[in-house]
Amino acid sequence: MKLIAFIKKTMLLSSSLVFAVVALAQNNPGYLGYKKSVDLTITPMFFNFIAGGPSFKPSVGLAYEMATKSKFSIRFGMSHVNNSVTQNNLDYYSLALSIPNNNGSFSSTDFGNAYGTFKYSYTAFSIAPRFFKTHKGAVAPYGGYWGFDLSLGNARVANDDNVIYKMNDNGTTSQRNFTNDAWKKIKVVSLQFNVGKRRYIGSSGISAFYQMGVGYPLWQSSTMYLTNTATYFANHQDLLENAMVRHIANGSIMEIKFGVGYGIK
Amino acid sequence: MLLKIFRVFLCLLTITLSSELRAQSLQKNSFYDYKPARCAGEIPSDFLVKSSEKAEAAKREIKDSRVSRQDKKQEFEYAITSSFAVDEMLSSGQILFGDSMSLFIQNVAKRILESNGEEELLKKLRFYVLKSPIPNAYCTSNGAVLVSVGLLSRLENEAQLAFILSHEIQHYILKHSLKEYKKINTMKNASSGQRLEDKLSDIYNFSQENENEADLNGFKMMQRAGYNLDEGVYVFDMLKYAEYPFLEITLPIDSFETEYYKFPLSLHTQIKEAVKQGADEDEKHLQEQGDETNKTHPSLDRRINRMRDMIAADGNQKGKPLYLAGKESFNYISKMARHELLLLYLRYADYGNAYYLAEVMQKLYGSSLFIAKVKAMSIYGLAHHSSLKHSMDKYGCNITNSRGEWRPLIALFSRMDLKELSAFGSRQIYFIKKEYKDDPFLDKVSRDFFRIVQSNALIRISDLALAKPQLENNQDTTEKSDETDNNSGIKNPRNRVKRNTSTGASMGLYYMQIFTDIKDREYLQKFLKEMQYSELSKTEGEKQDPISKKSKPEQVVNQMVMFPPQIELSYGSENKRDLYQEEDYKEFLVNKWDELGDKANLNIDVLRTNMDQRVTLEAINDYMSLSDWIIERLNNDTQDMLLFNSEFVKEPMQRKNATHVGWVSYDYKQGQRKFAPEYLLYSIVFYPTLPLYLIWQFSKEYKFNEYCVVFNTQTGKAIHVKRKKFSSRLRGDLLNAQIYETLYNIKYGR
Repeated sequence: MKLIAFIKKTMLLSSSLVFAVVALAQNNPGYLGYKKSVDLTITPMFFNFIAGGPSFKPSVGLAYEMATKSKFSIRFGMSHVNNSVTQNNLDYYSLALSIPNNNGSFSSTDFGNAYGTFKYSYTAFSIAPRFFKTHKGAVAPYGGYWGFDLSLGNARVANDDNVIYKMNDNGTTSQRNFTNDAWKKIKVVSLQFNVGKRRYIGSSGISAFYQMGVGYPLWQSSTMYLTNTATYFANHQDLLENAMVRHIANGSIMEIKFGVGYGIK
Repeated sequence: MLLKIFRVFLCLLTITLSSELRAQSLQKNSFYDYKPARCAGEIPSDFLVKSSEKAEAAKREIKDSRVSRQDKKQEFEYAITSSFAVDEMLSSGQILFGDSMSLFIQNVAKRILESNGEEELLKKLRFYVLKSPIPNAYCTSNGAVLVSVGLLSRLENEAQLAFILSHEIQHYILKHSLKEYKKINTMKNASSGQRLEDKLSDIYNFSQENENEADLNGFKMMQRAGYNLDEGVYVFDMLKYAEYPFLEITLPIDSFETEYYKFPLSLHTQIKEAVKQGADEDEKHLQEQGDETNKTHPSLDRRINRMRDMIAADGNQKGKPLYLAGKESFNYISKMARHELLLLYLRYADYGNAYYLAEVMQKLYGSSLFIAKVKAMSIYGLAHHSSLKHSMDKYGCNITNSRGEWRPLIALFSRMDLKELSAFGSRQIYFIKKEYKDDPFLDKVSRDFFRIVQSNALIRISDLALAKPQLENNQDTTEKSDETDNNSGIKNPRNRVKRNTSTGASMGLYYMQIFTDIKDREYLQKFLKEMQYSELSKTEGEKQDPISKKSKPEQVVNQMVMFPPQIELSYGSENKRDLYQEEDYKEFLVNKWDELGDKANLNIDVLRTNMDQRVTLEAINDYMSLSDWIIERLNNDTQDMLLFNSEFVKEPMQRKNATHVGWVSYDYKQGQRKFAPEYLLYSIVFYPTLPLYLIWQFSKEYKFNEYCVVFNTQTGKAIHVKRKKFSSRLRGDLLNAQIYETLYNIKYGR
């Protein structure tokens, strides 16, 4: 019973929140009456070199922005990217493979300049309040703004052969494949501060915008582990996690987003 | 057959009688209930050609002339500046053409030019009346002659007008404004916010040398036209006394006293002192008029003497005519100008001056509904502003500036407090209302005046009617209490006010005797009963504060008349205006407001008075009516006052099916950013920000402002007053966004 009551309360609260936002939107003139916008966005991952070198494969997204006041809008977005990353210099992470011996001791192999490749898929949902620069002539959703992007992302990682991670010690030693039973997942919550500008093309309601942001991963789940890696220690898993999370979340440390929008009255 | 003849005869009789009656009524209406003059007839070419085209035509003329390259450059600049400035004035709604005054001026000019063999010049010159109380005349470089209402109202005869026109035409013939421009070698480009008339004065301000030349040649022109030359001297005398009323009557404050209503001695003393002080100032002022130091114009005394010498050389002026175009016509336009002048004083909220001039006009032309309205409006305006504790100096009660015989009355108005003024006004309104019972405007003004008397001055108007002569009142005082009866020295503080059971505590005040001498007590009682105002009788809607946000009802404006949007674009550190671009933007903005009004479901009727072929006489006159209204509205810094011009905007607003009128103006400045040493210092301390600082410092600075005011012409209330400031580049989508937002806010009263 308690659960039902909780679900009811949650639904009531969330629906009234949506209605409140919609009602507030009526007080705003918008750009020529266009108070809402459906946007298609593209985010080239220029800046994730921090984790693994620049990658130009963009993340694509869909967003819905609703201006509630002349100076405020709220944006709900979703973005998705499939990417593969080669981790060039694992030395940086002091990668060494430790294999247990029969006598209970470990023999350690240092991979030196090892590299690894993995593929990941990352889907994020975001909610973003935006504050428009009315002193610069902006009327939400038109014009320059600043705001925050709070996003919850879900990353899944594997390579094409369902091999999670492949390491090669400079091509001299044997390659080790660590296969995976299933997709591995990791959740990332990140917060980004951004500034941007949207401009409309005449009175057609079609707009183009760009946005630049800096962000930081606030939280990440550590649920990913490798099932078929009996020879692995946790530090290697951490390493893998770190590499991917950095690649994904730190990708939003500096981000440039472009998009086109279609205005709705 | 007989029947047929009879019918025809009847028809003719009817037509003759009706036209006769119409003519009579027109004659009576023209001044009895004077309506502001409007433009008539064919629209002059000035209004049909774009300013840029005029400037280009002037430039072509200069191009063909044989002058040096440097001169040409200056002349080009001058052609552009003067063409746009003059057009700005012409399209301001303050210029009359085709009316009786302009036609008379044209007629006089025609006589002068024809008798001087300058028929060709007549084709080049256009004659207009400038609606300004300041006595002045201009002849612009492109041939527009402007004579102000203030000047026309002061002229005594046609010969004086002829002298002024001859003088101004000489400025045009001798190209004085261009010469002056070249001499100073600076762009006399008007700065933003300057009054249009001041801009014109700046451009057409001549040196002593040029003025003397125009005087001399103008004199010769007038001589050839055959006018009495003595009048030229009187013109200078008139200019010398420009700050005095056009005609004076002695109106001592005693003349408002009655047997029972007498101003206290202290008030008499105050006024005497103010008048004496003012008279000393007047002496100084007249001496300054004769002083040439630091003046561009030669002193009036010097010009008068020179004129007298020239007249002496010409011989006796006796027998030379004062009128060639016609005395009757002159008297008619003079009367018209004086009526217009009264309207101007009301428009500029100079109520003290307007009241005095109404008294002068009443003496001069007899009573009329118009004069009664002006007096009632003046009294009402003064009481209204006094109740709001506004400085009375702003409302035609500046003692120093009111030189001459109007000073005692002005001093009286400025020294009286609200209660005294209310009582004084009650009497004036009573007599006006008694004479013109059925006029709806007077009725509205009277009721609102008595609302102020009761709710702001806190005078019970029934007490005014009950007031009896002081002697009787003294006998009627109530018995004092035993405590204060004895001679113990104990006093009741309330005894400062004489008590009277019938008329309340205020009976001891002199102004309560304002109606004591009125014989017709029955009518007085009835009148005051009609004017009773009670807070309790207000409807819920009336009780709401019109500008309080909390009580503001949801308001939807669906139809609005707009003044053509104004824009000023200036670039660089010198704020150099791009006049060509401004013209394009004005056209763009007119279309934009029109188009976006449709998008916002707000039907906008923009008055298209921008100078081009599409302009219509109706649009010009509507614009004039509305600009008169808005001038009056802006000069009265209050939300709740009835406006005199509200009567005259009814018709155009009804025709457009609108009740609201909007005015919008933009100014845009683009220039180099000023050096900000504090930011440089910060960026040095926080050195990673240095590149950002450098980008900021060397980028251009944009300043863009939008001013918008929307009034309800029925109530006079401003429903939307907003100034938006942006630091953004002027772009089409920015204008789209801002205009639409403004329209949206107007529509929903936000």
